[in-house]
Amino acid sequence: MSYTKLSALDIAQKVQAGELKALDMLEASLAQIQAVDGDFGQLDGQVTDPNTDKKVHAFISLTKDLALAQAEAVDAKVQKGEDAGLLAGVPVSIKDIFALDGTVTTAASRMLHNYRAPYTATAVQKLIDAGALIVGKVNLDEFTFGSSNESSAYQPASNNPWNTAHVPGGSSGGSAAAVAAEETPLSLGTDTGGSIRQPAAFCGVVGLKPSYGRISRYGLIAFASSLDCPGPLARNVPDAALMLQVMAGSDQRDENTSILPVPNYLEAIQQDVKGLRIGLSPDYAGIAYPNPETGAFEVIPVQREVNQAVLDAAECLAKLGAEIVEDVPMPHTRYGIPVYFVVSRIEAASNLNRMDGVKYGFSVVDPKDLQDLYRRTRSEGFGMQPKLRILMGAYLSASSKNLNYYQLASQVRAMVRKDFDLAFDATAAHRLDALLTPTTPTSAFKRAELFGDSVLMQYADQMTVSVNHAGLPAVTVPAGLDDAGLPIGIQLIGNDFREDTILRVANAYEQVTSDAAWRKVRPMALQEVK
Amino acid sequence: MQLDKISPEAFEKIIEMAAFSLDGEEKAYLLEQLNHQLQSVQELLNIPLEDETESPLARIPRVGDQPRSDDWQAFEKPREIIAMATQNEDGMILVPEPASGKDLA
Repeated sequence: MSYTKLSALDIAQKVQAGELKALDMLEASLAQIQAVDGDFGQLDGQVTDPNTDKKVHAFISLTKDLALAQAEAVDAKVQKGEDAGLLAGVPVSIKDIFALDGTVTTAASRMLHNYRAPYTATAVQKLIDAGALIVGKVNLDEFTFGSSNESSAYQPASNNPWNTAHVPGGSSGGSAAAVAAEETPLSLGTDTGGSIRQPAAFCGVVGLKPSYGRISRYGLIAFASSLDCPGPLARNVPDAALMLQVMAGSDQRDENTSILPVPNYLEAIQQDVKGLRIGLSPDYAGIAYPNPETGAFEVIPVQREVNQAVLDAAECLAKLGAEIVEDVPMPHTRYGIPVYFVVSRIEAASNLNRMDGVKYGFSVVDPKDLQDLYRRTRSEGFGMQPKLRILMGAYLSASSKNLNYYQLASQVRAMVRKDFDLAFDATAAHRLDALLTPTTPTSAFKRAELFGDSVLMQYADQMTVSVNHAGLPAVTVPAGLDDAGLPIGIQLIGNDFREDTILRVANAYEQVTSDAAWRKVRPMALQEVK
Repeated sequence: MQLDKISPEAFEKIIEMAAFSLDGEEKAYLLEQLNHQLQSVQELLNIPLEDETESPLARIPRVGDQPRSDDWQAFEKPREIIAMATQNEDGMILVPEPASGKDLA
């Protein structure tokens, strides 16, 4: 068996036991990237490979020298009989929105094409300290603004390994594609409105959005600071738990990190699900979307196979002894996207004001004066989606005296949270341990199918975004393939800092479906790779 | 309450606020998308709001609950940061002069 098929847990155990050298593992990972990835995303990228449509294009850059040094250090530790770390010799890719000392950190934008980070993000440093091999940076929607990867200024953008004519989702699409295509068993992503879970579902991998504050945001280029969460993408639940274990914890450099102790997730997921109460809600059966012509809201039902996968999963969990609680009301779910349009845009506009061509990054040549420098730099440096988000943020921030959009959205956001409070309240009617929902309304859509329609693209996140508003943890796990052979994901949402519970349920589901026929199917991009 | 569409005049104002310079095609696309997004935001105006609203993040015990000590910590590589500026001299970042009489905002 190729090393690239090994789980992160297996790799770390074998490396620590001296059965596998970190250097050999790195070589296998790089060979897989060479075999499936094709041209890396480049600024104004020119396609050179005639088979480019069949390639994955997960990566923007490799950090071979760094990974090589890390592999040598791990092997040296093992040789001396020392503990080489929980992720000893495990190749990891990093969404190119995290600072990594000495490497170009682009955010997939022309604006940062030359920004060389002078420090390392806390989450990345913890991975390095645990013995991981950082093999490179992966593609994303520009500044994480998108749900398909298509808005990246670094083209070709990532494709879905299951069918390369389809998008991998976004914004952590490069991460999900890299994991699905067995380029790296783990990838570090971020989730602001569903940016880990949606691509993970589209690419048939596990993606975890931790509670807000569980993992430090230090060194993450900010999108919407009250929503941003770093988190793991992995091929199975124990690997996601392992990666979370390494990255979780407080950080003096991010004052919003929690001081709550970090549980042992790997132990927690071994428990069964007997007696756990798992909810189903009718408010996750469709998305309410405004018709662009009339403004009237139309409810579009969730794709049939996706809905069926949720029901099948509930049945599986019931057979394992979980109690399924139906008809849990989550009436404010439909307001998740309107709230997101306000909160995320205002915060994004504020965060992106710092991109001015003065301190770092892209800058125009020979500006007439300071105003000319600002305007031309921002106009030429940002792509269309960042411009759209900044303008919306500017408009909403400058609203009239009798309508404060941010305050209004924050009030509704609190009502979204209240739905979850009631559902998880141990003294109330439903007393849930987890809420089971679709992760996405559909499987992965085709490239160019939605790109440009910023509203419909945003509504693709309706199943995920409420969790970000509430600050709660949620995990997506693969739950089958649709009629077109594309992956389906189901989502488990937990109470504050109960990653242990949702990972436990996800692991039980993964174990009980381990022999399912759909789990034997391999992504299209891997079918020609030995 | 019904939200009005963004007028061309208001749109020009926010372009100025955002420090952009856009061509006609960009403006047409962006204005259409902004107005479509506002249709979504419209939903928020029709919800009966509750008086008491607590931030979803307020209950989490966090590092920032205790003020950190006000200790100055030097960054170990200040020259690397200064070197990234488009123009720098003697450890200082240089910027062009503002246009005379113009508001930087």
